[in-house]
Amino acid sequence: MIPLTEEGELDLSALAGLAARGNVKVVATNQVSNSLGTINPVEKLAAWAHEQGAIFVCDAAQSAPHVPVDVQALGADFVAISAHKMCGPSGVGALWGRSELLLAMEPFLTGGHMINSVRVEKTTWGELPHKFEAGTAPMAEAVGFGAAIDYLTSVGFDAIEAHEHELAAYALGRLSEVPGITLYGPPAERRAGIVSFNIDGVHPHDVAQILDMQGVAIRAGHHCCQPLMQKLGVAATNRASFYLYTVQEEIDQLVDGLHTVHKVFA
Amino acid sequence: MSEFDQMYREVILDHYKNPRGHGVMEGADAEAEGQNPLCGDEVAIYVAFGDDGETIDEVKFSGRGCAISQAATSMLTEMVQGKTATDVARLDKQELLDEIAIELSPVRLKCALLGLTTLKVALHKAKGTPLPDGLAGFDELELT
Repeated sequence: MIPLTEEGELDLSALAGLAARGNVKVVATNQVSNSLGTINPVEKLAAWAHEQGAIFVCDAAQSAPHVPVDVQALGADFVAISAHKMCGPSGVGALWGRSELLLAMEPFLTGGHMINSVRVEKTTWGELPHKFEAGTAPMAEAVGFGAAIDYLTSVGFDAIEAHEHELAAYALGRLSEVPGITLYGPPAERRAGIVSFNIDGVHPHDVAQILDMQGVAIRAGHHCCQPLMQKLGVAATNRASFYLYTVQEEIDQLVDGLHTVHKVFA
Repeated sequence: MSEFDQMYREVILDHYKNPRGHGVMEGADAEAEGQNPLCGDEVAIYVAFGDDGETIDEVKFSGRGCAISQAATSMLTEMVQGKTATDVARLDKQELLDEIAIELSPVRLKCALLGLTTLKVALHKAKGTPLPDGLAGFDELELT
């Protein structure tokens, strides 16, 4: 594992030590941390992975909704995204892979639509991408996914990114007024629209419950990142996330809600 | 009374801020750890039996978690004092929930019952008392 700096960014100074072990086969990271909002230096990591003769896999599920993702510019070998994080339906996503790697790979599922010819002696697989799309596809979801991407593209990813940065900076400023708050992750200019925090003496589930009762929905828990929670020395964190539909007044509501948390637990 | 005043009743907050029986017990007669990975609640329960080796003399707990899990476990340490291991194994969760007396969603229900279930695991390990349905074979509790 690549360790983290105190600000929750990948510590690239550890790469030389990892390379020296000589057994790096696959390097995988998310482009944006789902927990801290940190934007990871994916291009650098992809180049480093290739120097080691390794494959680079990028989880862009948390970045694709928020920033323009150019798979060629990233230099990744595989990039995964998920529709439900970008205004689309659940249960569908996309995996992009370099064709030479996909051609060299065997299917991991068999079923309808993925063969070229089947003989008792020999079976050949279908062309890309059908080779990897066995069975009946979730058609409605795929069409909905396309519509969601068209919608986001019409709004403009640059505009979405700028809007979220503005909100993140505003939120970090307003939240720092809340007594007993600890904010995690890098400064606004190096993060996506996510703010993780804790309130001294109040468990995140209680924070989330009291906010929920005031009409503010946040996520509380370990965010599927138990090792990160361990590193931060906490059981769980609160996470507020913003998207193109979030407005400043909602951040004010969040801050007001946190003052109520204080009152309840004072 | 507002919605959160109902949930975070004074007695719940009092048990959360001044938990009864909080601490680690060295050389306990029975102990177990439980966690609720969904919310990161962790609790360790320690039991000391009286001279008859059956009656609960003292229960302590350590760990961290939300107000509901910590307050419920604190209330539990008072409820079970003087009861036998068999009594506690038979203790219906509703009795504890009546004591807590707030409306709990399914997610928060797990927080509220973490201490009781962990205590039953501790007694099962030490005394062979039966576990609640669905927990057979558990030595450490991990609710999901």
